[in-house]
Amino acid sequence: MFSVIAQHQLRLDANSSDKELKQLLSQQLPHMPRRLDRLALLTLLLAAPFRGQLARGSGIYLAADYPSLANMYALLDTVVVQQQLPKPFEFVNSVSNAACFYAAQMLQLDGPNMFIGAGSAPWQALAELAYADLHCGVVTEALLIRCLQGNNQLSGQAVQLRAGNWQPEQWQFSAFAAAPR
Amino acid sequence: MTPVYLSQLQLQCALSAELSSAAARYLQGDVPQPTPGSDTLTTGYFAVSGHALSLHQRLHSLLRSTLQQAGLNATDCLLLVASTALDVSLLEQRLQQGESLTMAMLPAFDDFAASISAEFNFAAIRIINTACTSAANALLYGQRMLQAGLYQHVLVLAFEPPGNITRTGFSALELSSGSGQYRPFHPQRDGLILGEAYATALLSTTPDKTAQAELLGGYSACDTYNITTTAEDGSHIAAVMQQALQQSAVHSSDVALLKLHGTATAANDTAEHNGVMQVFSRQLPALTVLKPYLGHTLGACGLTELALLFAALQQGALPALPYASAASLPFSTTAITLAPQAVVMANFFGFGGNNASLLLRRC
Repeated sequence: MFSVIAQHQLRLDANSSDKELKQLLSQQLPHMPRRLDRLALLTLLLAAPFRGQLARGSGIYLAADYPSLANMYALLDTVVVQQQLPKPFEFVNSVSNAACFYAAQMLQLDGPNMFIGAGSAPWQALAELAYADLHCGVVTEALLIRCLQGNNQLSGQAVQLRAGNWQPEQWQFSAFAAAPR
Repeated sequence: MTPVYLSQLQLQCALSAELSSAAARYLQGDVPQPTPGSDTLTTGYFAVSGHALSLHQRLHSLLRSTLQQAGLNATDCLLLVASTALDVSLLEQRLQQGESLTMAMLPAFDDFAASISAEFNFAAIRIINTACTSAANALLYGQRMLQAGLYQHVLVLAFEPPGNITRTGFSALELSSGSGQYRPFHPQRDGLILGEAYATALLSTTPDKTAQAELLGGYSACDTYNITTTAEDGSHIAAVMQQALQQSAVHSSDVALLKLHGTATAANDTAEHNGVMQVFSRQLPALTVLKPYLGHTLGACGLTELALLFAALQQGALPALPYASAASLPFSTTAITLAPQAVVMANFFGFGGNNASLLLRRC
């Protein structure tokens, strides 16, 4: 099924401000994209270690438990409570898989780009999408990213995969992290 | 590769709350009239006709009838949900009724899946949000997961309810039509009109008697040129279409009909025009657009447009575009008839650089 190439995980203080996340990211990137919401910042922090490690046509598969919460709150407050037009970038970030877009831009990838709700089995969901693309010859490499913002968390994990013979016994990140290299 | 068939199509849209009636109206060239916005901020949209139902009542009813007609249990199916808004409109309604906005009100993606699981025991539920390619990606990944042997059947639920965030958002971006006329590829096009729609389809490796198309394949990829617009030279669109042809083992000359994305926004139509001309430089297939009849159904359009198209093809010839002679692409000025087994290419593009193209063969 898979060959695990690399993995990365991050656990941050959930009270970290977006400004602090931007500072953390700017230490790793020569150029910072503008108008990143919190989900995009977390995604980029998880994807940054994989810069230069993936073939251009590789797929990115992102699962998140929530959309960017502050962005969604601001949109509802502006549009429904204050009855004003939303800020364009807040609207665009809410209806698109913006976090995936910025990750693809940072990693210079132009392959498949999928965003899914994390659900109760995020690693199974992500792995099935990647497996489908690897099996059908659509990609040769895949980057799976899971972001967590709910329940006072700010954390995530990422795994780089190729097709191979290893199959996880359980659909948990720990199984991917412990896979033989 | 194992063939994958599209069957049990259902669609509730502005033309009708029932697919065969919607297809009949489309074949007659009927275009719906936008329901006016309720205030100065929201623009008009194509509303679903018929009985008013709550969102979850409507979705559960669609899922129930699709499973029943297919003779399947939910446990036999992976459910792929494609929508940009999900049920945020319900949160909008609570706020409009006077509840105070709090962070705790904001729904997790799991909350929507839980509402489905309360009635149906699907093998798994996945919520896909890749903007306006959500349903196209649901079909494409449903096909690939079936071909990879991961599931027996895949049920796709695609929908976009009307919401103020969406309607004001496109106004803020100055992408909404001010004229109330939805005219993709018209020289005086002035933007999109949103459409409310709810649709289901079943993907299976064996065709049942309602199978309308074989999903041959496709390609979906990210254009990192800009988050709201694809490269205007059409280069990424052309690359995605070429990859879709290659993945489906179809030559461009075998495509009988091209269903364009056609949002009627200045940048999208220009980019798609350029991309199409790069792929079909020698001979263009017949062309069609469906958003004038459905509105832009955003994350659902990958399924709503295919459902309307294939149901219409069963009933007769597709109507000519009313302004075909003025359009920037060579649309037919007469009705389009497709042979059985004809190959259809369908384009879907979205914010976040998402571009997708699917290839299907009529059953």
